[in-house]
Amino acid sequence: MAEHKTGSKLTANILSGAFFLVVAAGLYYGARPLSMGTNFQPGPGYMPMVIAALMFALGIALILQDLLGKTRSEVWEAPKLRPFLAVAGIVGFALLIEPLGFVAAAFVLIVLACIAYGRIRPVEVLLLSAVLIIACILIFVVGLGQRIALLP
Amino acid sequence: MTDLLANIALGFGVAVTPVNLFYCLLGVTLGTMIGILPGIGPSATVALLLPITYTMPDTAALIMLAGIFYGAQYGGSTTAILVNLPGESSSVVTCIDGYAMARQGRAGVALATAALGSFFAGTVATVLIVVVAKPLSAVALAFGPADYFSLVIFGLLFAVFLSSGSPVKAVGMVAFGIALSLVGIDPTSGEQRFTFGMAELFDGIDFVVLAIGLLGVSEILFNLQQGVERDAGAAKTGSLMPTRQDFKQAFPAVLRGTALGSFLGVLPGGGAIMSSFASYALERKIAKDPSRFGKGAIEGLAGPESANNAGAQTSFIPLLTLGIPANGLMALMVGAMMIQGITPGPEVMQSRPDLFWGLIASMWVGNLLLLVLNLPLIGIWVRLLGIPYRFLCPAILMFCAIGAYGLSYSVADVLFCAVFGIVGFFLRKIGCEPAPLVLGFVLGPLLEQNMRLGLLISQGSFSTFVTHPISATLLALSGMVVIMMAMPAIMRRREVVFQGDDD
Repeated sequence: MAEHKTGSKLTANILSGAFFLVVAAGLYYGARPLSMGTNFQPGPGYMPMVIAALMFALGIALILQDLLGKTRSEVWEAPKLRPFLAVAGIVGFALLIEPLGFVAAAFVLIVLACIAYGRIRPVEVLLLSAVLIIACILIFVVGLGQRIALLP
Repeated sequence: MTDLLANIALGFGVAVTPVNLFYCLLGVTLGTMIGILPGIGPSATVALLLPITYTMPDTAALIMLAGIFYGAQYGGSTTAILVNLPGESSSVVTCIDGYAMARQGRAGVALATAALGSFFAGTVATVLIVVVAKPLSAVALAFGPADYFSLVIFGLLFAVFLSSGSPVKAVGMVAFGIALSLVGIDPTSGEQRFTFGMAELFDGIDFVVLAIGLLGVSEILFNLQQGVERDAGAAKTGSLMPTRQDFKQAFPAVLRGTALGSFLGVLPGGGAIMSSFASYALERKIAKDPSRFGKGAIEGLAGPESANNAGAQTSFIPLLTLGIPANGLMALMVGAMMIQGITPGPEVMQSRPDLFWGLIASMWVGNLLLLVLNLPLIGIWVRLLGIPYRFLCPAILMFCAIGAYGLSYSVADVLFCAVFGIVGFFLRKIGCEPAPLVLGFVLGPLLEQNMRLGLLISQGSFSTFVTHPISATLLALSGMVVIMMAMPAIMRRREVVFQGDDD
């Protein structure tokens, strides 16, 4: 916890606080055109404003906690980028499933997921893809009767 | 009493039909499997399976999902004992004395103690649910909108209080969850809120998509960052039979663990994790010779193992009787019920007695199945530990993607799922856990509607929340929870409960 060397680094609390402030601001702007209503009949904007106020207060509290407090929360370290290829795999799946069908989309996802994990062995990836794609087709398309196009 | 027996008979009649028995077995098998495999937890699994339940009969769907939850408690302890890795977060304390026993060549005894203790706790918890369900539902039916509003507030605050980590962040995550639940067309006024004109958002954010992204995808990202390392050097199991001495030491601990777990499970935010930690702390406190703990004390294994299973099961009580999920996993069960067109709450017992009592009876049946699955078949499960994460990770991602897509064949759903995965990952990284968010998301609409309705009935006077006795009591309790959270002295003690193994 107290292992920070320089005083200027971003900490978990400051980032959380900033995130809450951003959400609060978003809620505030999004709710402005909505009617607040009255206490008798609260409108659609009532709850968003209450939540925005709450998140604003919490955000400020978190930031102050680290700026003023003696012990500070963990210092932010940039995450490795490689694992995000796993998310890229999901995006790839989403973009390919309609034009190219399930088999191709699933293959792209599996390859990207394997790269995200680390080094890949081509034979292993091919075998894994075959097993997973067949298993998914059996479970979701044959078993559950989902209407998913397999090929383009 | 005859009523009670009739209900139980009805429940077992439903639970042992071939279809339900099959799904119960499927649920507990899956639960054991993911319990054993580190790197995927029950929340993520239930989230992943939600889309599949669309096509299933409603009772079978709930029976299966419930089975995953308590099945994971059994599986988690197997990994903890044999390889010193908590398969589930609720079995962290099991590692301490369970693995110590395994190193002394008593892994079999440890496994048997854990399974038998869990089974005993599961049986007691099932009876408890049967006994309290009816009176609690009767109370719940007397609840007005103001009372419900206060109940949700209390539940959310208490969940925050019991969660580990910063309470400020947990409250913020609950608020963020409520904010996300506001997206879509407001049911009262018909106005669009935060939809950015996207047709995909008119019906709000789909709960399943949110859950898969936030729990499933973000968990994978998190594991990939940390690197899931696993040594398959599992200990030999040895004899399963506990000695008379073991039994004499373990049984009182099982009783205490069951009592503690049953109680903590009912509380919002409680459940399996909290129960096992609290039970370990209790056992060490009352032991004649606390120095034995950490060196294979059987009480330190039997207590927490019973407690986590009891807690896992009694956390269904608030969901089934009040319609209020006590933790993130129960929030997923709400999602599952909604998918089937059932609104959780006290009415379910009257309108769908078959489902209600069938689900409860299935928990006992499931515990019995787990006992059979876990003890004689332990060798098969141990082999699962050999599956490397580099195979699991693509498989889980595949299920995430196809699950999100299959909901309504919408590409946007899959993309939202990816976005929630990234958001969830960054939030975890800065110490904001996704569980309170999920809870806030599920309870948000309930909170807003009951607040509006309460104010409408009282003609705009906020005093309605303090003049109704139930509501006033709940708000007073909520106030106490806030005060306790604000007191740093208690905060420190809370920390100790969660790090009971630090000496």
